[in-house]
Amino acid sequence: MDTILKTEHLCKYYGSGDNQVRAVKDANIAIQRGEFTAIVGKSGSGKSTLLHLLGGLDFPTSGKVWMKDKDMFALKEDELAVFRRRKIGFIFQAFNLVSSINVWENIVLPIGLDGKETDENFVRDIIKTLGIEGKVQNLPHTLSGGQQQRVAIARALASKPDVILADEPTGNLDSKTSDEVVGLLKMSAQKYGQTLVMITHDQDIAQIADRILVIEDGEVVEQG
Amino acid sequence: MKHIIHHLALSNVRQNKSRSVLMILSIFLTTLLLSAIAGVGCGTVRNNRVNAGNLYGNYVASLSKVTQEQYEMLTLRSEFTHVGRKAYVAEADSGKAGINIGLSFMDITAAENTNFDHMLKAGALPIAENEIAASAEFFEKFGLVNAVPGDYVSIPLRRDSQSKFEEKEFVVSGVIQSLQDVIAQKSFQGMVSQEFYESLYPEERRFYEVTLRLNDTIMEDERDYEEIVREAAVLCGVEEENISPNEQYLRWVYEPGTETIMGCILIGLLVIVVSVAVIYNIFQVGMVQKIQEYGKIKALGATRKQMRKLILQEGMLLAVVGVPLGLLAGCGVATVMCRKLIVGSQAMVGVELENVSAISLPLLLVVAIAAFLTVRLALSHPKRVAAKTSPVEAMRYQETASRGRSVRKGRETVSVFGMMLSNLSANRRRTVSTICTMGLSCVLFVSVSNLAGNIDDKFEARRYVEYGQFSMSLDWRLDDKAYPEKNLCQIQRDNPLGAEFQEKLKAIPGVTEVKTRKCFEAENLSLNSLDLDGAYVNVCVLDREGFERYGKGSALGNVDYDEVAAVDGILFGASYFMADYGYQIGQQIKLKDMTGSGAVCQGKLMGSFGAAPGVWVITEETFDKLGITEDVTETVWADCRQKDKGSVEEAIEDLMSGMEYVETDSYESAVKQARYGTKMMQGVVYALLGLLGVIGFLNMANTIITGAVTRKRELGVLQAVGMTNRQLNWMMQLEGIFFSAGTAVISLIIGSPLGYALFCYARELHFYGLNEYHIPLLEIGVMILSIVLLQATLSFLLSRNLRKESLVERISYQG
Ligand SMILES: Nc1ncnc2c1ncn2[C@@H]1O[C@H](COP(=O)(O)OP(=O)(O)O)[C@@H](O)[C@H]1O
Ligand SMILES: [Mg+2]
Repeated sequence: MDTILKTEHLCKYYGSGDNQVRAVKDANIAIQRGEFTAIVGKSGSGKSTLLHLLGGLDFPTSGKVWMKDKDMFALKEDELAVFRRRKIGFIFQAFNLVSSINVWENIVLPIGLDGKETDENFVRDIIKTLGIEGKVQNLPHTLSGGQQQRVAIARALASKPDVILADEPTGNLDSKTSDEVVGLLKMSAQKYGQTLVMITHDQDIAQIADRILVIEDGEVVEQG
Repeated sequence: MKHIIHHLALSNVRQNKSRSVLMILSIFLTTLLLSAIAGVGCGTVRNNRVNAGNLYGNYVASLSKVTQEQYEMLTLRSEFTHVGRKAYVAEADSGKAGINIGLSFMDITAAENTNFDHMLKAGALPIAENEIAASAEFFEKFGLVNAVPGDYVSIPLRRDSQSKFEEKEFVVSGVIQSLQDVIAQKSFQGMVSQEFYESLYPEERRFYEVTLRLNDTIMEDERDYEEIVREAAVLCGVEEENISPNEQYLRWVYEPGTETIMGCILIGLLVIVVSVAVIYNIFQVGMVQKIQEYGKIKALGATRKQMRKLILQEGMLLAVVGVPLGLLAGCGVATVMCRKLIVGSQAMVGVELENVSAISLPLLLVVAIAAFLTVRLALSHPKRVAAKTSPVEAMRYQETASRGRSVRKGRETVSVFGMMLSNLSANRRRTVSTICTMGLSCVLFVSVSNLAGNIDDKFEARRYVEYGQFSMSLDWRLDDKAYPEKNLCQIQRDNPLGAEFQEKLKAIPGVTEVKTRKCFEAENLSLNSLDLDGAYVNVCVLDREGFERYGKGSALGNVDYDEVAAVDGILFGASYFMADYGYQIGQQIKLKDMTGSGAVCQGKLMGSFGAAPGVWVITEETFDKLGITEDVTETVWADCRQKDKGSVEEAIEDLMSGMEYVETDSYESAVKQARYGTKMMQGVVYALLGLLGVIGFLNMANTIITGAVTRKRELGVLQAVGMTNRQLNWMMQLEGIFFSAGTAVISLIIGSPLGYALFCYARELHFYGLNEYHIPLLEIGVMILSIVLLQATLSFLLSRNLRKESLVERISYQG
C-alpha cells in the first residue's frame, strides 16, 4: 500500500512559557491511499489543529507534513493555496458555504478558482449520489443543516482531490442525519477512490472507519 | 436600564470601530463645511456692515451742482449732519498720453465722508493757498520723487479747456496712500485748499458736490431715507436729478445682507442633503450585522422606545466627537478666508478696513444644532427598523439581502469576477444605495464642473477687447448735467477717435488691421415709463459681424442682419430687460440723434440681443440713411502680429498722450485678468465639491469595509478551498472598481445632462466666461482618477489587513 499523507515529528504549540498550549505533540502518522481514518478525542485535545496542519491551513511549530513526496510547508503561500484546491477537499462543521452563490456554484467553486473546465457529468453524478439534485439552484440559507453538509461534501469531491479532510462534519446535525451524512461521505469517497480523514467526537460514528486515531492532549495514539 | 442603554451604545460604538471612525469623519467634515460656509457668510455680512462706511463712503447721499448758497442752506437743515463739499478746481497737464490729472478741493467733512482722511499717509490736508496733498505717483508725474510734506512742486494747470496751462508752485502738505493698482491707474487726483479754490472762482461760479449724512434720530425711526434727503434737498433748491443716494452704504447699514445669507443657506442645505444620505447609509450598512444583536437585547426585554434610544445614543456619541472638532476646523477655515476677503477689498478701496471676526457664537450654535439634526435625520430610519424587528425575526436575520429569494440562476462555472458580482447582487440594496450616495456628490461635481470647467478666459477677455490686440474707446456719460462735456454727444463733436486718429493708428508699423464701431447718444422719443435707462440712451451701430457675435445665445425676435436692415428695424440691447422695461416686439421706436444732426431714427422693434454694447442697436445701412455728419466712432480696435505687440503698445500710448475721454485696454491684460478671476472661482468651487466628494467616499469605504468584515469567515472558507491571496486581492479590487465604475457612470449619466442644462441656463444669464460648451474632460478625469486611486488604496489595505489574521483564525471566526 502506498502512503499518501505522512507527518514527521509534527508539533504545534500556542503561546510560550507557562501559558504554552501544546495542541499537537510530536505526531508521526502515516495514512494510506483509499483509507478512511477517523480521529477521535475530547474537546480541546488538538483534533482540529492536527487536521488544519494536515491540510496546510496552518503552519506547524516544527516537523513536516508530506503529501506523497511533496513537503507541503516548503511551498510558498499562494502555491500552497493552489495545491490545496487541487489535492485536498475540506468539510467544516458549519458555515461551509458561500452565501451569495447557489448550490451548484458552491460545488464547482474550487474548480472555477483553479481556472479549470468543470467535468459536468462527474459533478452531476456526485450531486445525484448525494441526493441533492433538486436543490442545485437554491441559495445555501434555504437548505437544512444536513443538506448544507451534503453540498459541502459534494464540493470537497468535485475537484477530484486525493484527500478529503472533514472536521466534525456532523457536529451540528441530529444523530439520524449524522449517520446518513457519514454514510454518504464514506460511500462516495470509496466510489471516487479518495482518502478520507474525519474528525469526530462520536465513538459510534468512528466505528465505521477503517482505522481510528485517538488524540489526547496533543498526543496521537493508534487505537486497536 | 437607562444606564445600560448608554453602556450598550458605547460598547457598540467601540465594537464597530471602523464604522465609528468613518461616521465621526463624515460628521466632522459636514460640520466643517457647514461652519466654514456660515463663517464666510457671516464674515462677509459683517465686513460689509462694519466697513460699509470704509467701503462705500460714510454718507447717505451725494448732491451735485450745489451752489454756495444752497450749500449753506443744506448745512442749516436739521435733517442733515456732516455736510461736506468737494469741488473740481483745475486740470493739470500730465504731458503723457491717456493720463488725466485733476485738482480738487475738499473740506474736512467731505474727506471724512469719503474716507479720504484715512488715506493720508503723512502730513495733513491742504489749508494754505499754496498747499497740496496727493499720492506719491501724482507727484512723480511732476518730477518730485519720494515726496514728503514740505517739498515744493511746480504744476502746470488751467481752470477750463478755454484757458492755457500756467505753472503754479505748491508746497506738499500731505502724502496720500496710493491705490493698489497704480501701474494701470490712468487718472490722478490732487487736493488743494479752499483758499486756492475760492481765489480761482468767484462765488457765483462755485459749484460743489455735497456729501451728507442724516441726523441720528431720523436714522433710528424713519425708513425711507432717500425720500427724506430728496425732500429736504429740493427745499434747499437742489435739482432732484442731481441727488444720488449712496445705495450700497444704505443697503449694508440698514439691511442684513439677505442675498449673502440666502446663498449660504442654500449651499448649507446642499451639504446637509449629501451628509444625511451618507451618514444614513453608513449606519444602515452596519445595521444589518447588528440586527441580530439588537434582537437579543430586545429578547432580554428592551422596549421599542429603548431600542430607538439605543440607536440614537450610538449616533449622538459619534456626533459629540465629530461636531466640536468640525466646528473648530470650520472656524479656522472661515477666519482664514475672511482675512483674505478683507485684505482683498482693502487693497481695492485703499482704506484700512476694520477687521471683523468670522466667528459668531449664536451662528456656531445653529451650525452645531444643524449638524446634530443631520445625524438625527440620518438615524431616523435605522431607529425605526431596530424598534420594529421582533426578537425572533432579528435573531434569524440574514445578512444577505437575498432574504425572500431562495434560488439563483447562477452560472455553470465560477470565476473571481463572478464571485464579486454574486456578492454585490446578493447585497443589492446596499450596493445600489452606496453607489447612489457616492454618485450624488459626483453628480454635483460633474454638473458644476460643466460650468466652472467651461469658463473660457479668452472669451471673457473678448468681452472687453472684442477684436485684435488693443481697444481704444470713448469714456462717456449720458445726459450728465454737471459735466456736460463728458457726455457722449459732446465728446463726439470733436471726436478724439476720429478719422485723423485712425489714420495715425494705421500708420504705426506693425499694426495689421484697424476696426471701428459707431455709437451715438440719442433721446428716446418712445420712452416707456417702466424704462429705467431714462430718456437719454446710446444707440450702437453694429455691422454684420457684430450681429452674428451678439446674436448668439439669448436673443429674442429677429436678429438677422439683412432682414433688420431691409426694414430699417431697431433692436433692443438686453433681452433680459426688454419686457421689464415695457417694450414689445413690433412696436414703433423713435430715437433722436443728440450729436448735432437732430435726425430721428424711426423703426419697428424687431427683437433684442442678449447683451449688446448699446441700449439700442441699428444696422449700418440704417445709420447711413440717417445722415449724421459727425464722426460718431466710439471704439477703435487695432490688431498686430504677436511679435510687434510691445512696440505697437508704446506707439499707441504715444499717440494717445494728452487725449481726454479715451480709455485703452489690451487683450493680453484682459486675458490675464480673466484668468485670475477664473482660478479664484474654480479654487473655491472645487474645494467645496471635493470635500463633499470625500464625504461621499467615506460612505463607499464603509460599505467595502463592512462587506469584508461581515464576510470574514466566508472569505476564510474561500481561501481554505483554494482561493489564492492574489485572487482574494483581485476580488476585493474588483468590488471597489465596480463601485467606482458605478459611481462614474451615474455621475456622468445624470451629471452631464444636468450640467449641460445648467451651462445653457447660465450662458443665457451671461454668467462669467461661458461661451462654447465642451465636456469638462479634465475635471471628470481628475474626479474618476481620484475615486479609483482612493478605492484601490482602500481595497489594498483591506485585503492586507484581512490577511493579518491567520486562515485558521478566520475560519473559526464567529460572525
Ligand atoms: N489560536 C489559538 N491560540 C491559542 N490556543 C489555541 C488556538 N487554537 C487552538 N488553541 C488551543 O489548542 C488546543 C487544541 O484546540 P483544537 O485543536 O481546536 O481542539 P479540538 O478541535 O480537539 O477541540 C486547545 O486547548 C485550544 O485552546
Ligand atoms: Mg475542533
